[in-house]
Amino acid sequence: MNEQVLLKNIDNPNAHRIETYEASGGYQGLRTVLRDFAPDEVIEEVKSANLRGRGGAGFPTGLKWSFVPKDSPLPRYLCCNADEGEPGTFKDRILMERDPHQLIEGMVIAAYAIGCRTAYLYIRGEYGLSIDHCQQAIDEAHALGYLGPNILDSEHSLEIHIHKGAGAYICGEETAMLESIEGRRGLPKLKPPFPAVAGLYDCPTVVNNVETLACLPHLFSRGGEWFASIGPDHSPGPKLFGISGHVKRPGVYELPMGMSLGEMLEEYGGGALNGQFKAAIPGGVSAPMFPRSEFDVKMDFSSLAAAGSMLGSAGVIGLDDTASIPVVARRITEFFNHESCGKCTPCREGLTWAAKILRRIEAGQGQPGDVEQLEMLCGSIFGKSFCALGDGAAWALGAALKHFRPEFDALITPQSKAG
Amino acid sequence: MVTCTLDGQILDVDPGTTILTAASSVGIQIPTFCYHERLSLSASCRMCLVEVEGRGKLEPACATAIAPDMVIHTQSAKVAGTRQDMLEILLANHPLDCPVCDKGGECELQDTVYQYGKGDSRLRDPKRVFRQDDIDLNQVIVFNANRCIQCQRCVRVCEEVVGDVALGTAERGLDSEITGVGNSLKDCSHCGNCIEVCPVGALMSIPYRYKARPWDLVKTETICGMCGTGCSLTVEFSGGTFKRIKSDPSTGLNAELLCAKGRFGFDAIDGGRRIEQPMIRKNGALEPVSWTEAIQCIATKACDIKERHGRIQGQISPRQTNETGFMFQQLMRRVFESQDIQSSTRFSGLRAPAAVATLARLVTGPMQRKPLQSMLKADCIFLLGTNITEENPVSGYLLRSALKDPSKRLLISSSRPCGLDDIATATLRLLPGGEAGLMSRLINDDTHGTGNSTDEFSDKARGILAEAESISLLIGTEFLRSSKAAECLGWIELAVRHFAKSGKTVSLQFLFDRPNQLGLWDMGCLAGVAPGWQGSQVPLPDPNDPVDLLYVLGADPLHGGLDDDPATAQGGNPAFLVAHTSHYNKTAEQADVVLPAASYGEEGGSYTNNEGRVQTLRSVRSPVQDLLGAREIFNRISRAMWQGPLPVEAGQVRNKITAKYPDFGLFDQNLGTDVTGRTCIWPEADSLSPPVDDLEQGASATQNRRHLITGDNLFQSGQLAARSSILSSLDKGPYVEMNPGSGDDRDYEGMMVTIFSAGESFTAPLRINRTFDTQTVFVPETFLMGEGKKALSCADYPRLVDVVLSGFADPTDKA
Repeated sequence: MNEQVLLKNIDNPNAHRIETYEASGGYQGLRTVLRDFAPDEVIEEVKSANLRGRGGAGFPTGLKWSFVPKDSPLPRYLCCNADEGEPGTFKDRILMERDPHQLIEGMVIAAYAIGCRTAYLYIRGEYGLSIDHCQQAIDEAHALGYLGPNILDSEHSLEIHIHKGAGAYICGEETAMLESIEGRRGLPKLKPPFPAVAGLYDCPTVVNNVETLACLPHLFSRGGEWFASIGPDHSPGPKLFGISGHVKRPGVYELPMGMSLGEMLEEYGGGALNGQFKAAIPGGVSAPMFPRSEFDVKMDFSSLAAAGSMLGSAGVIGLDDTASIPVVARRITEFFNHESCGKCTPCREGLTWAAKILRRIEAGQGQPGDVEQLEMLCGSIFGKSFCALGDGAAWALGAALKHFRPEFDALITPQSKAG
Repeated sequence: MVTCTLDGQILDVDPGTTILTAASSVGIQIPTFCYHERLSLSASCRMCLVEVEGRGKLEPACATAIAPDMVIHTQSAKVAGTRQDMLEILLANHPLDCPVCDKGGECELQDTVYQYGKGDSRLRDPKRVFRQDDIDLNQVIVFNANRCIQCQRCVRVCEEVVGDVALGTAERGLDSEITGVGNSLKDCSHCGNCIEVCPVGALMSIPYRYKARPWDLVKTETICGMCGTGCSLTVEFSGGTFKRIKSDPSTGLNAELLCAKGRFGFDAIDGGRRIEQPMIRKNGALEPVSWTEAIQCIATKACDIKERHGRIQGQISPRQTNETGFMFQQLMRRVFESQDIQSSTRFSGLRAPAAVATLARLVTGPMQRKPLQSMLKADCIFLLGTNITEENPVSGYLLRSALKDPSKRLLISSSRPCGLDDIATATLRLLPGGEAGLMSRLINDDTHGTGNSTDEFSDKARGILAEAESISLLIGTEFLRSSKAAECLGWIELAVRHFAKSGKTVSLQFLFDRPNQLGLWDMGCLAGVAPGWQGSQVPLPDPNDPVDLLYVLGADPLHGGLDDDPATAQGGNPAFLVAHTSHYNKTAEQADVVLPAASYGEEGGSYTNNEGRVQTLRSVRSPVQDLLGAREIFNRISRAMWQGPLPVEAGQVRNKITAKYPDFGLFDQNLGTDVTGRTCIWPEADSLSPPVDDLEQGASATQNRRHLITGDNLFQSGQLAARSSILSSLDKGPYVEMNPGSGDDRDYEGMMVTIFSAGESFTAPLRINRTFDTQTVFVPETFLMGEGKKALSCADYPRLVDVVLSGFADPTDKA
C-alpha cells in the first residue's frame, strides 16, 4: 500500500478537530512558509513541485498564481472551489468532512503567496457536514492564530468566508462561481479577462480546488522535491480518486497517478459488480468513457488527455455488463440538460434536443437518423457553447456513440419504429 | 496598430478592436443576436462564431480582440454551417407564429434565418411551450416567452442603461424566462427600451399591439416634444392614424433610446379638447367669429394700448418652434413695441437683470453648446440641482452608460433624489437656491467645520474636482425659480471659471425640461434679450405695473401650472387676454380673444435642444381643422396695425434669424458650437458678494413644515404629457412623495398627506421615499396644475408648507 498523505487521518473520528491535526504535524507547512519563504518563493516552490490543479483541468497551480498582477492596487481574492458537483465525484467532500484543516492551512499558504487578505470557500450547499466542519475548522484556526490578523505573528492576515452554493452545477465553473459569490445569477463570464486579472468584484482572483489547496501543507512541510517524487513526472503528488458505479468497493482512494484504469477498478474498486466491466468513465461524467478494451490507459493528466479523455475530477465510474449505454448516455445528457444555465444557444437548445431524442430511443420510439442527429449535435453544436459544460456533454455522449453505436442501433429497430 | 487578415483582406486595426467591429468597418456583415453596441458583451448567442486560424474552436467575433497576424475567416463553409446550425436550434423551440407576431417584417430572427438559415429542420420532437397566453408585464409591455431567444439584451439595457434592474431571468437552461418580480414590471420606468432592443417578438408594446404591419407604416423623422434632451423620434402612421413611436439607432443623440414620455406619450396629439375656431368674448361668453374679426379685434386693442403707452406682455410656451418664437418676438418688439416677453415664466428668478446677464454669458460662452456625448467623456460629471432621471430621462440613460467607465466620478447635488444617486461618488440633498453657497465652498475651500452633509459633500467634491482633468456640469433649472437665481448663476459662473483657470476642460449644459427653452431664448423670447443674445437697451417695464394686454402663445399661465407668471397667478389678471393655443385650457377659458393654433406634431420648424443642437421638427399630420399658422396670424395682426407684412414661410424666417444670429444651426455633432475668438457683449459681473450662507435654512423646516419641491416625474411634462391618456394612466393619480422621518414604512401604510399654504391645500396619498431628506416634500407639478393650486405650484420657490399626515386614505377627504 502506498503512503497515505491526504487521507492519513481519515479513519480518526476526531481528525476534523485542530488538536488532532496539529498532533499529526498540521500547520507545520504554514509555519515553514511564513518563516522561510517570501511569497514569490512560495509560487516558485509550487511551480517546481509541478502541482497541477485537482479540479478538472489540471492547470499548473504555481503558474496560475503567477498570473496575478504584482502591481495591482486592488485587493486580491482567493476562492476555493468546493462546489463539487460532477457526478461520480466525492473526494473534496471527504477532505472537508473528515480533515478540513488541511484545506484551511492550504488556503492560508495560497493567500500568502498571492497577497490576499480575504478568501472565500464556496461549498456546495448540499454538503451540510462539510460546511459545518469547515466552519468549525475556521473558528478553531482563528482561535489559535492561524487565521485572522497577523497570522503566527507575521505580516500575513487572512479571513475566510464560507459561501454556500444553491444547487447549480454551473457554479462549479469558476467564473459562474465568482458571479454567485457576488450575489448574481451563476452564469459563466467571458474570458478574457481571466480571474487572475479581473475576477471577484473585478479584482485579481485565484480560484483553486479543495484537493489542490489541501496538498499545499504537505508540499511545504515535506518539500517540493518530496512532492514531485510521487507519481509520474508530469503529474506528481498525492491524488484522490472516487471510485463508484458497478464496483464492489466504491469509495475515495489515495493513489499515485499513472496507475492503469483497469488496475484501479479491479485492485481498488474490487472488480465489477456483475460479470465484467463493459466500460468506465475516468474523471466524472464529462470525461469520455473507455470501453474495456482500452482499460490499460494510465490514470494521469497527460496520458488520459492523449487517449482522448481526461482526468477531470478523478471520479472513476465503472459500468458492467448490466449497463445499457444508451440509458447511461440518456441519464448523463439529462443531467447536463438539467444543469445547463441557459446562457448560450447551443447548450440550452441543443441539450434539450439531444435529451428528447435519447428519451425516445430508450422508449423504443427511435427513428433512423436519430443517431446521426445525436452525432451532429455532439460534433457541431455542443462544442460551440460558451463554457465547457457543453463540451463535457458532447464528449460524454460522443464517446458513448463512438464506442457503443450498435447498442443504440439495436434500440432503433423497424418494429420499434412501427410501435 | 495590429495587422490581421480578414477574409483575405489585410487590415490594420487599433489594438483591442474586435473581429466584429473590424469586419463591419470593411463592410463584412456578421450576424448577431445578443450583441448590442450599447450593452456589455454577452457572446452567448453564438451566431457570430468565426474561424481563426490556429485556434481549435470557432471564436465569437463580438468578443474576440484581433491579435497580431490573426487570420480570420468569416465566410468559410464551416462558419456558414455553424450559422445554419445555430439558427436551426434557435428555431427548434421557437413557435414560428410569424403571421400573428407584431414583429413580423422587422424581426431580426426572421431576417437572419432568411439570409443565413437553411430552410428546414431536422428536429421532429415537440417544441417547448411556456404558456399559450402572453403576459401583460405592465400597462405598456407584453411578453411572449415562447418567442424569446435568451439574448438578454432587454435585461442588460434595463440594468446597464436605464438602471432599473426590473427585468431578470427566472429558472435556468431551457426553462430560462425573462421576467420581472412576480411576473410584473409594474414598478419599472415603463421606458420600453426593452421592447426596442428585443430582436424577436418576445417583448412587445401593448399600445401598438395588433395595430399595424410594419411594412404599411408611413414614417416621419422628428424631434420629441417632451423635454429638452431632444431625442430623435420616428413617428409611424398607418391609414392616417398614429400607430407608434420608434427611434432609429443611427439618428440623434439618443440613438434608439427613449423614455416613457417619448415612447408612449405621443397619443397626446389626439388628446384634450381642441379649439376649433377663433372666438371673442361677447356678453361674458366666448362666441365663434371669423379670423378677420378676431385679428382686427386684437389689432385695435393693441393700437390703443400702444398709443397710451400701456403695457403689453407676451408669453410663449417653450414648445413653440424657433421660427415661430422668432416671429413672436418680432410681433412683440416691432409691432407691439414691447420688450416684455417671457417663456417659462415660472423662472421668476430671471426677472433680475443680473440673472439674465449671467445667464447670457454662460449660454453664449465657450463652455456651453457641447454635444452631450463629448461632455460625458469628462473625468467628473457634476449634476447640479436636477432630477435628471425623471425630467430628462434619456440624458440620464446616456449618463449611466458613460459611467460604466469605473474611472469616472459623478457628483450629485439636488433637492430630490434621482435614479443615479446609487452610482454617484457623493450625493447631497440641497434646496434650490443653495447652489450659490455650495459653489462658493467648492472654490473657496472654506469648510465651515460643522460636519454637516454640505461640508461632507464639499470635502469629497473638492478632492474629486481637483483631481479631474475635465469637468462637465449638468445644471438643472430649479434654482431659476427661486429668488436666488442671480446669485446661483453668478457663483456657478465663478466656479466654472475657477476650474477652467486651473487648466481643466470645463463644459456645461442646462437641463431644460421643455423641448425648446434654449431655442426660444436664443430667438429673443426673454425680456431684455434680443435675438442671438444681443443686449436690449430698451428699459423693461416695472414688473408691478398692471398688464393691459397679455398675448399667450401655447402656454397656460392661468392654470397655476408650469408656464405660470407668479404675478398673474396671484390675482392680477390682465385687462385684455389673448389665448392663442391648440387646446382648451384655463387661459383660453378666461380669454377675451381665442385663436386656434396647431398642436405639437402638426407644424414643422426647428427645436434647439439642451446641447444647443438645432434639430428639424416635422409635421406628422395636418392640423385637424383648417387654421392659420401662428406666423400668418402675426403677419395679419401686423398688417392690421399698418406695420407692414411679417415673413411667414419658414425659409424666409430662418434667413431673418441667421441675419440676427449667425451661430444659429452651427452645431458640429462632435464639437458643438465653436465660439472661440468671439467677444461677449454682456458686461462682466461686478464682484459677487459672498452668498448668504443659508444652507442651513432647512433649520426652519421641521417634520411638519417642509419645503415644497415640484417638478416633472417620469410620466409628466406639462400640458403635452397631461393630454396623453397612456402617460396619465401610468401616472396612477396624485401622490405626495417624501421621507416621513422616524418610524417604519409600515407605520405609514395607507396614509394621506395634506399640504397647506396661503389658504390652499392639497391632499394625496403618501409615497415614501427614504432618499429624500426630511425637510422637503415633493409633489409632481401636473397634479397641482390639475387642481389649480396656484399658490402651491409657484411663487417664492421653494416655499415652506405645512404638512399633515392623516391615517385614512379616504377619497372623500380630497373634496
